[in-house]
Amino acid sequence: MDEDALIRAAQAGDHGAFERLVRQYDSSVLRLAMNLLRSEDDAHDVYQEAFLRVYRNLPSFRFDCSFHTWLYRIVNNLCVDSLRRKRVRRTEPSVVETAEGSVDRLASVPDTRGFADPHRRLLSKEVHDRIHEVLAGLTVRERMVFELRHFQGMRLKEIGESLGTTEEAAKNCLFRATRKLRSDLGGLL
Amino acid sequence: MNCDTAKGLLVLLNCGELGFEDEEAVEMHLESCPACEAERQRLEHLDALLECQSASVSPELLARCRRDLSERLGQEAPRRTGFSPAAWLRNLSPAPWLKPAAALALLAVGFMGGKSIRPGAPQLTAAQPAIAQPATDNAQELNPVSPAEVPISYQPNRQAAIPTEPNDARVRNLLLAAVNDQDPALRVDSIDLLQARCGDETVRRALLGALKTDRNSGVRLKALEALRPYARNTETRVVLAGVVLNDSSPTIRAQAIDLLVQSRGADVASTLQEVLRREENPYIRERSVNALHAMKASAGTF
Repeated sequence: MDEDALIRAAQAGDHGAFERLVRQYDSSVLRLAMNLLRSEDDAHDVYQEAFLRVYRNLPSFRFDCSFHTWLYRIVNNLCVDSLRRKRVRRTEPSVVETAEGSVDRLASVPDTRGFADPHRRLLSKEVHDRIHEVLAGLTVRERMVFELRHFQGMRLKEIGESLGTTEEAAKNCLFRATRKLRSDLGGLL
Repeated sequence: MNCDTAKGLLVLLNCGELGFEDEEAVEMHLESCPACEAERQRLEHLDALLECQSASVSPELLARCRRDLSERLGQEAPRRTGFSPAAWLRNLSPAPWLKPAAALALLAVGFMGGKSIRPGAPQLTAAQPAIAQPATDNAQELNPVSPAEVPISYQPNRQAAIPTEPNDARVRNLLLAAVNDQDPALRVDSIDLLQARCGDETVRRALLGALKTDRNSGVRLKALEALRPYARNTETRVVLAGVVLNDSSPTIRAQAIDLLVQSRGADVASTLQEVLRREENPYIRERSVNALHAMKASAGTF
């Protein structure tokens, strides 16, 4: 069954078709959220909300764009919201006073970055820290475009659609992001 | 093409976003310009560095996301009639309170799902009074059209009146039939109920069949869990070896390894060595290496 037929079947109430739709995309949705948010909990929340919205709005999906683009538009919006909230939360102190004394909340946060994987420990921690720092320096939109292009393999036209902008704007955003990364990581290249 | 133009297009070249003519022009320029070629290599190196930084998604996180989505969709389902995504997403771990309801639902399938009950079929037949009688009590209508076809209109809210004898062979047959139902949630529920009967060879074979061939990974995972106590059984081990090597779900492959290594025979070692030869998932590779190490077996086949 091709994707359009699958969507139509899901719209008609075929839960098997809905399952296949979710399973087709959920790994890459989760990976995108993890890459952008760097937190399992936040990525989990985005996953839940994204597919709930798909479920609620699928009956009104009219094939004006591809399902993929529509889904990523939802995911991108959720990630942007989450990143904005995160930036606000960043101002909170990591060390808090408790009855048992000072506790560093960050110490209990699991490291979900790539180098937590033993197979990626080859790169030194300093290099990873530097890359992380540079990525964090990109604007939310630049990170989105870069992520969608490089790690989700989306075309610029599709990225533009999923971000509610033009292909040209997405292209410029990608140029900017690459230029910043190229310049800030110059010493490592 | 000059260097400024070429450098401006390198990002798009790297992404495969250039049209044919532009790509040809840039490639020609790169052949004659070491500085731009070096810049291209730096961009490729940048991609490789960032790829290493890309976060990994564990199979456990994915499973947790699916399970939680199932629950949330379960709360949403009443908003949309005729569509219950909770039923399919419940496939990873049905809530305990649903189990009795599932048992009754399975029985109801026997009455409602087929709408036709043929004598001699493994499910309910007119010659099976133990179940047919209570059904008559609850059925709004039971009018045989022909000896071979009995349409039944059932009153779902009174299904609780049906007696379910856990050791009744007909209930078992009904559950076995439901293992092949097209609804994955029903398949999960039936496997859940059959789990306690895995000592029965017919049941075990049905679960092994589900583990091997069911198209839904949640159903396969459920079958895998049900077969856990029989992981040392020869037939189960053969199927587990196939699952470890061929299942499309990394979660299931990883869990199958855990079951398989309960036996430490040469067949297990050679399966794990084969895993290392063909598996790309780093988590599963690591698990296999650890298992081989614990078995004091080498990682290579030499």
